[in-house]
Amino acid sequence: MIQVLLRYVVLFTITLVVLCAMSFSLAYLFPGDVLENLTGISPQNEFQRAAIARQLGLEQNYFVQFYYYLERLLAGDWGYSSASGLPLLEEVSVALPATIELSTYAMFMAIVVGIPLGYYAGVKCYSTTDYTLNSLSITTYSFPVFWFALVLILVFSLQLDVAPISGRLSLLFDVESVTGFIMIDILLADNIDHGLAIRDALSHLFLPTVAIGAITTAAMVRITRRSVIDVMQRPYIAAARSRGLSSWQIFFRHVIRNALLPILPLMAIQITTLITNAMIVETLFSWPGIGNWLLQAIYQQDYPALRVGMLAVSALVVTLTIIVDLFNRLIDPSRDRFERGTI
Amino acid sequence: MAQFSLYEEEFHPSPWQRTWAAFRSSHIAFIGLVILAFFVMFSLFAPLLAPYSPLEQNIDGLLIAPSWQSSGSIVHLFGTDALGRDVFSRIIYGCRITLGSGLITVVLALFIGVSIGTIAGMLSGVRSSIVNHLLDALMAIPTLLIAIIIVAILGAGLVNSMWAITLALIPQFVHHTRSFVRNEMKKQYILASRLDGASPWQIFTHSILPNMSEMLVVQGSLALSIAVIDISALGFLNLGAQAPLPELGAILADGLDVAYMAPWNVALPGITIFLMVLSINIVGDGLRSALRKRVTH
Repeated sequence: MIQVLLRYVVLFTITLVVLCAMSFSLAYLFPGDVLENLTGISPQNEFQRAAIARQLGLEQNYFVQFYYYLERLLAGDWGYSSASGLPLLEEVSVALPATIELSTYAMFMAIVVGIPLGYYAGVKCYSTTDYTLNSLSITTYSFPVFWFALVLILVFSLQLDVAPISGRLSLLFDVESVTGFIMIDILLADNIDHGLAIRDALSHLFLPTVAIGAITTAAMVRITRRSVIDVMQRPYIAAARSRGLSSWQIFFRHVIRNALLPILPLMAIQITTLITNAMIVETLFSWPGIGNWLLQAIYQQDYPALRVGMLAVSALVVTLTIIVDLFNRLIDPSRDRFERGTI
Repeated sequence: MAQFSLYEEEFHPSPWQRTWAAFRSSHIAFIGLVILAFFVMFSLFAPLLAPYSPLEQNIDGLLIAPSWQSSGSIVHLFGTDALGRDVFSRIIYGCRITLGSGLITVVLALFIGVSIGTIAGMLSGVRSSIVNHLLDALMAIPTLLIAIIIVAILGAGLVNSMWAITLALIPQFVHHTRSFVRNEMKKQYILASRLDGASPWQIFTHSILPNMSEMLVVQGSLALSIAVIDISALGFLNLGAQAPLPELGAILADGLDVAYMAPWNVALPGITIFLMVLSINIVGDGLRSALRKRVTH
């Protein structure tokens, strides 16, 4: 147990260091001045330039520079955006929670809708219901996310006019960003009508969440269905049946928990897809998240922002993946870590 | 004299023939294959099938409605876009670029991924552990992020976005190859050929690769659908194929400017991408269940 934890801590640290090294090397790989890429400040004169270079350790070898870089990252000095001039740590800490919030709701939707549907399809496998659910999920799974989001905007915002097109909250509500999560911020704000504000925030959240969540839900249905079918064919199910258990008893005592085990590692893979989709959908709904921010950065050639944004997003995704992996390992020690289920 | 006739049948179908029979027995999978074949045909014979050049602009015929609307004409089957280009021709060429670059990307990723995966699978000890752990963690980095970084370094363009998608697809091939090779290396027939003095290369080419080909086909079909979606997504975000090039995502992004006046400029490329990905997914699904049926049979 301790050994497993230790291994994961070591793995996590090594991965983070590799990611930091990649983000450091980006300063050299991106076009333009290394010094500007690292700090986002363009020095006014030679004297200032020399001072900054000394501070960054630029005259020494790469390893020393990397050490200084790590030190600055840990101290919270991430440099400045060359487009807006604001500290990058501040910008990321506003943008990242917006994406996390959106992805959390979408994942929640996928789990609440997708897993029960998958169980239902798996238990009724090779029946008409199963075929309907399966073909529905494969259809949804094939939607290109940006087009699906456009169709949703067209139908719900422009035709039916039930949901707003863009943004997180109506400008009428003056909510200060404390945590970056809109729902928590609304509850923390004290001079507004909470009920109205939450209803407004939900109507803004509805379309992006559905656009991202539908595809993950479809993947979830397929993963769960496959896993349930695999479990149903195991000998212990046949043994339970021969002992005279009813199909409900078999389902609750044997199928539910055993089918969940292979789903977890596949969920870790879905996180990556989910965040990619969230980043694309954000640009369509002008959601002030990290995807929108990164794309603005690339259109404006804001290299310091790209360097930090890459580090922040990949660190987030890797952390989530490793946590899910560790969790999976802890609840199922018999499992070889290289083994993964199939859809 | 004793007869060693294990089977009653005179004809023994090969594994691939049996897979094909199982695949064909599913109507949905077969329809998916037919649709995919259509797309492949469009891609291969685009210059013969397209009625106009995809770049030819016609100032006299801007935003002509598609032929099934009352204001449209049969001259332009899917209508024209804001520059008077024929949408049907652009979509045919778009299939060619999107599907073609998707295929190239997958083949490249497959080749590199299988090489790394085999080496990682045959290694053991600390080296393999480091390779495996790092790959597992790096596999989690989203495609879009890799694409953004590559575009920032090399500049936007179709070829650069293809590199990005290749990089993003490699880890999953590595992963599957590695676990397959590891499992296979424990089996007895590998031990037998090793006792016969086979070198690691011979074991790989003669024993493991033939068994792996089916897994690779299934994974390849999965990767192809991801590649097509990603290429069009990058084209849509203006990070991939650039403006005049008729790539399906880029066509859709172009059409977005006139979405109110000419919704078919958004709808038709979107439906094309959707159908393409759907047919690839259906074929992949059909292949998987055909293989499963064959193994359990």
